[in-house]
Amino acid sequence: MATWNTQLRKGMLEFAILSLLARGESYGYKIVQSLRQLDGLDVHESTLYPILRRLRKDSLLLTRLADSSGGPPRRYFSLSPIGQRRLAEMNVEWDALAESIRRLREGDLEL
Amino acid sequence: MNLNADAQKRVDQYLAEVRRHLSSRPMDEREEIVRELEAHIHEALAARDAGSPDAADVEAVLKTMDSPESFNTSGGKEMPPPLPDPRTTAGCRPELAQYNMSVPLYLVLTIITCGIFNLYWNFQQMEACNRLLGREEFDFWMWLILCIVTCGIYHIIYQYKMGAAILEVQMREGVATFDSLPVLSVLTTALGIPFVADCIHQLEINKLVRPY
Repeated sequence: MATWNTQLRKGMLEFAILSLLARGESYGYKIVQSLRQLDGLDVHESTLYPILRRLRKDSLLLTRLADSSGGPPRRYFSLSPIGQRRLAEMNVEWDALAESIRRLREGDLEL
Repeated sequence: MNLNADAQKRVDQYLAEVRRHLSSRPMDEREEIVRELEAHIHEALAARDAGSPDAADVEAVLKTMDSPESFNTSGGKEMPPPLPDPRTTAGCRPELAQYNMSVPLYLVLTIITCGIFNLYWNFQQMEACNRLLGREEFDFWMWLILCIVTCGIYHIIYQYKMGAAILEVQMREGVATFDSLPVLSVLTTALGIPFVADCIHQLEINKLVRPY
């Protein structure tokens, strides 16, 4: 139970990050805090920051540096046009998958 | 935000541990993640709104974060523990003191021997870097063969790698970094004055291995 649950939550993190950034740019610490407000997501620094790095390398995210009140500069992340397309695809996939599972659970399926 | 020495030391210690557990990843990736984590810690400390943070505040923030071990995705293949901090540990590196070399002397020997001594110099620098990195990043014989086969062009790449390796150790150890070292190494070598890069590398290595 715990294993598949954890895997599902981790797998959803990329989708969640892109969805969050579709609402506006944000930086690492704030992304962590925002996502931790949501139930069901498995948000850890050790998974989130490598994912942010990968999304940036894959050109799904754009970054800019800005001064913070103290400490190192903030790296703001935002969706690139490629990221926006990927998010749109994910939304379609998610809706289709959720609908399929709903039909299966409600018995709305001829066997 | 200014951290006192103890607080900064604890942050550096945490980041050094994370670096060690990320050692299977490429250096640029590793350093980007570490920079993000450092910013994360500072943001978390600022969010506590408790004035100038001390080591206890840092400890409290680190407790809410993943342990350094959590960053290890390589199945346990991390670097050996980092070397002691040269700023705080007197006489801590007698085993590496042999790599603390006189730059003027080596430069003169290189010129007198028409560059032959430079082979030995590079060998020593590779050994020093491998020891500092905790892995076999450089292989003298492979370097020599590739330099001969490529008529010296590989040496430009090697100088970049050497500069990047020294920078990696500087960042890992939390000492002053020479950020432009890899680029400077390439430029000086490409301009036909590789000895300048060797001298700069040696000066930086000396700072890392000097037995205080």
